[in-house]
Formats: sequence, structure tokens, C-alpha cells
Amino acid sequence: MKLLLVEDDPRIADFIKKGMTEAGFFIDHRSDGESGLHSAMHDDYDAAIIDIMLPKLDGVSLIETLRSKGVRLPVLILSAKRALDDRVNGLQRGGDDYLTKPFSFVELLARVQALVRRASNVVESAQLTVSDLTIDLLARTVVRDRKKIHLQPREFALLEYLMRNKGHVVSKTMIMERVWSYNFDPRTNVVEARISRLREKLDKGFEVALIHTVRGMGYVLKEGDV
Amino acid sequence: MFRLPKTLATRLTLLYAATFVLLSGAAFVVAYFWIAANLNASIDADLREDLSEIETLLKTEGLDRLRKDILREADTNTPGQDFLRVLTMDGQPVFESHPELRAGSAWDHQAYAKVSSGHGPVLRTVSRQRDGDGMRLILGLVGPGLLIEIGESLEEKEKILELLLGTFAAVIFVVIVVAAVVGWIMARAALQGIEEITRAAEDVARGNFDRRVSIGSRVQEIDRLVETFNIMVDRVRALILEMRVMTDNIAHDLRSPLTRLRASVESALYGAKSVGEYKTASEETLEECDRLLQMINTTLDVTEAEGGAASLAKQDVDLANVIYEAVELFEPIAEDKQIDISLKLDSDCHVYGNLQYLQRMVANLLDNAIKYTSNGGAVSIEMARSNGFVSFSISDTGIGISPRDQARVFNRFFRCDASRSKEGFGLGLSFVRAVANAHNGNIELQSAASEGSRFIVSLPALST
Repeated sequence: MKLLLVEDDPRIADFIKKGMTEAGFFIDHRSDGESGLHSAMHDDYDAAIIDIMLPKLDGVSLIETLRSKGVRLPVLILSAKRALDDRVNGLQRGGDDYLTKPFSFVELLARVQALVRRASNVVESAQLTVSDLTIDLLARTVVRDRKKIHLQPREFALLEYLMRNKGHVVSKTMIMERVWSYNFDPRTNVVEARISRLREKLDKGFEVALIHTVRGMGYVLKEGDV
Repeated sequence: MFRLPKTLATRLTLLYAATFVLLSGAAFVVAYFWIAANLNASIDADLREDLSEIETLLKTEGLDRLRKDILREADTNTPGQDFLRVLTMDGQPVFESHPELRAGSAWDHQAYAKVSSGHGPVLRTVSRQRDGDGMRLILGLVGPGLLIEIGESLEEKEKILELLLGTFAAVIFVVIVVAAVVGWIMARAALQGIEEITRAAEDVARGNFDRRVSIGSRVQEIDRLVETFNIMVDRVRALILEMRVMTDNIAHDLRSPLTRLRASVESALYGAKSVGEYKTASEETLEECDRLLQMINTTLDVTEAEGGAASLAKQDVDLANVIYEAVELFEPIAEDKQIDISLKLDSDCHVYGNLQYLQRMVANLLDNAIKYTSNGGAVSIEMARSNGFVSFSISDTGIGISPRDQARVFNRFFRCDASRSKEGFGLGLSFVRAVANAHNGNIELQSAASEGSRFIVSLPALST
């Protein structure tokens, strides 16, 4: 997996480079918009992390240029601007995800991994399976060990999101964004409460637990321990 | 180049005076020409009458008798009044009453030609050089081969017109003085109070926010200005006070997490003995950092919502749907506390607004309602559309808010005693109010201690 990082702050860049390398990515770093655009056009990457405030060419224009040239590279926008309209603007003009500074590295990693997966899972499968759990996206049914489990629509959406990212941690804010389309954290732990409901329906009475909490990071669906 | 003075009072005075002078000047010009025309007409009528009298006299008495009469009359009359002469057809005078008046009244060939061709009497005006008075002459054909010319001095007419001019000059002088005085008085009356407001504004600009202008019995417009000025200063004062309190609160709220942060780092630095202890300290530090960040972010969100009403991206939002989703989101938490959430929603409750903000507004209110209601309580949400507004209320059976605190719950960083122990920054309701205002709506609070609270939000409905 190869990533492009376009970021002018050397400390943030080092922090990301170090973390991503440890997580198993190869990473190229460019510190201005023009060289970032050049690399994005001429090299092959799995995803890019692009800052908005960049010297020479700003991040959003960079992405816009990329898209106008038909480059479909998945892009995560990194920005110190956190106003709602900046976010909407960044996504409308070609970004795939948006994360505001300061951010937690875990969150960044989870989002980048999700971007890469989304880009590679082009073939839509009607069924998703983890261990003895299978969900049917068309019939909207959940079966574990030949036992049918009834879920509310939102619980189904949550499970589907966890299944699509099986084996990878997703953060609470990612869940809020994707499952509830809330771009804010209502602080009170609504996600936790919902996960515990889902866990009760899915894992109770089975020997192997599938939904795991990763402290300080989020949740992961997988067979066996974290 | 002439430049108009800058003060309004002087301008109004000048304008008044100019208007009065122009209007009375116009009236005078009309009157002057009308009177002059009338005088001319009456002189002409006199001359025609004289001519026909002489004609009759000539026919009945004969030329010699007429001459005698005329010359006698001319002797007794004051000279310079009327002038009469009798002429032959080729313009030779037969006799004349006042030869000295003839100067300037040269033989007029055109008039002669007209009269001799049977045109009837011809009138003309000649100016006499001596003292500037003119003379009006009539030339007519009388009897066999005789012409008569009669002249009337225009002295009297000119005297009348001169008198008229003199009177006008006196009148216009009085008008100018009166107009200037009246204009000045009116301008002063209109501007009464402005000076006082200016002085008060200067005071406020220097930082004296307690300064007000007393509302007296001035003209209505100025009184309104004074009122508005006072309201503005009130608002500025309130904002500054709020800002001071807020800064205090921020400092206070920053101090607690920073103290905890410092403590955990310090104890790790001097007391940690194992990697596990370092790890715990790091986790604590991270959590406190996140808390601080969230507080700063929420503050910025409130500021954004308060400031950006115009720049918000708005769309058709189904408020009922937003409420359904929020209830669905909070359901597990409510269930954990055995709180029953009841919904009574009208359909067709659309507003034109920012979806993210409205979602968050509803979530904040619902979060509060659940948080401050004890186990086994109830939260009810009602929404209805009426009079062009969509109103929804979220009521709880919680601890309620004391009347003293009700006025302050919407202030930033305000936390009543009951909420100090709970998580939060005291920003949730400020955000809710900011969002309601940004959508041209409002929020109301009804509460009684230990009975619960009801928040009512009204937003302009989207007409369908």
C-alpha cells in the first residue's frame, strides 16, 4: 500500500510518516501543492492525505485539478478549518473524506484504511460474511449459525458498516458519520449504547464474540480477540 | 466657487429664505405684468373715446370752433398732460395743443398709410426723451381730409408701476428676514436633541457604557432616535458584560482540565515506576487533551452558528424526520434509564435550514432532557405547524430549572448547580439558541423546579 502525503508542517508530516510506516504503508511526502499535484498525476498511489493550507497551490484546488484530469485517487482532506461549509466545500470539490486538525492518529489511520478498502471493493457483493455470521444486503436479513437474528434498520446499517470494515477498527465519529450522517459527536455515548444493543443480539449465547471494543479507538468486527 | 455651509441648520435656513423669495418674486412678476397690461388697456380705451368725442365735436361745431376750444383748454390745463393735433392728409399740421410735446413723435409713415387707406385708428407708443416718460398716441381719420392725433402721457402709469416695485422691494426684504428667522427656528426645532445624542455617543465611544440620553418631549423622529440609541447602548453594554463573564468562565473551565493534565504528567514524571503507569498517565493526558479540544471546538461552533446566519448552506429539511432520527439515536440511552419517549408529530413540518445544525439542535435538546430526567421519568416531544411556523417542544419530568437560572441557561458557559456534576461545557443551549436565531426562529423555556422543563423552538415553516 502506497500513500501520498501533501503537508507543509514538518512536525505533523513526521508524525504521520512515522505512524503510517509502522502501520505498514509506504509513504511519499511532498510539502507544497505543486509538487504534490505532480506526484499525484505521475505516480501510482492507493490513497492521498492532503492538507488544505499549502504553499503554491491549495489542497482543494489540487484535488479539483486531479478530478478534472480524471484521476480517481481516494483523497482524505486534512484541515485546520473546521467550519461546516469548509467541510462541505472540500467534499463537494472532490475530496472523499475530511478530518480536522488536531486529530488522533488512530482516527486518521482508520479513515485512510477505510478509503483504500472502499476503492478496492468495487465489486458489490450481495452478501457479507464473517465467521458464522452472514448478512444479506438485498433481503436485509442477518443469520448467525443458521439462526435468524432480527435487527432494527439502524442496527442493520451499523452492522453492515462494521462488516464492510471487518478486521479494521472504525472510530465512533466514523460510525456517527456513516450510519447516522451526523457530523458531530453528541458526547453522550449514543454509539456505545447502540453497540451494546447490537452485541446483545449478535454475540449473546455464542461462544465466540464478534464485536470488540478497542479502548480509545473504536470498534472492530472480527473473529477472535483483538 | 460658492460652497453651501455644512451645518444642517444653516442649510435649512438658506433653503427656506430662497424658497420664500422665489415664490414671492414669481407672484410679484405675475402681478406686475397683469397690472401693466390693465393700465395699457385703459389708456387705449381713453384715447379711442377722446378720438370719437373730437370727431363728434368736429362734425357738430366745425374746425374753427374746435381749434378755439382745444387751445383754450390747453392753456388752462397743466402742460404735459394730453396732446392733440389736427393734420391735413399730407401730414401738415393745421393746429396743435402742446407743440412742446411733439418732440420725438415724428411723423409715422406706416401709421399714416394705414389710416389713410381706411384702416381705422392706429395706436402707437413713443418715448419722450425729456424725463423718460413715454406717450401713447392715437391717429385717426376725421371728416374730409383731416387727421387727428391724440397723445396721452404714460407718466401716471409709470408712477404706479414704480410704486409697485418699491412696495415689492420692501415686502421682499421683510420676507427674507422672516423666512430666515422661521427657517432657523424650524431647523433648530428639528435638530433639537441631535447635539445631545452626539455628546452621549462621544461619551460611549470613550468607554462610558452607562451613559443614556433622557427621552424628553422632542419631535417624534428625534425621540425615536434617542430611544434606539439607548437600546443600542444597552445591548452593547450587555454584550460586553456577557463577554467578561464568558472570558472568566472559559478561563475557569480551562483551568480544571489543565490542572488535571498537569497533575497526571507530573505524577508520571516523578512517580511512575513501570511502563504500565506511564501508559495510564499518557491515556489520562490524551483524554484531557481531547476534552479541551472538544470544548474549544464547541465554542467555535456556537460562534459560527451565531455569526453565520447568512452564509449557512440551507435546504428543505423535514424537521419531523430530524426528530425521528434523533429519538432513534438516543433510544438505547433512554431505555437504559427506563425513560419513556413519546412523540406527537404533525406531518409536513418542513423548514428551510441547515440540516447539520438542525440535527445538532434537536440532539442537544434531547440529550439534555434525558440527562436531567431521573430513572423512570418521561420525555415527550410534540410538533405542530401553525401560522407559518413549525414549533416543537421537548418536555421532561426532570429536576427543572430555577427561575433565577432560567434567564441564564442560554448564556455561554453557564452551568447551573445541578449540571456542574454532569459532563458538558455549558454550551449546548447556547448552540440551540444560536441555531434557532440563525433560522429566524426563537426558543422559549417553561420550567418549574422538580416538575421538569419544556423547551419550545419555533422556526419559520417552508411554504409548500
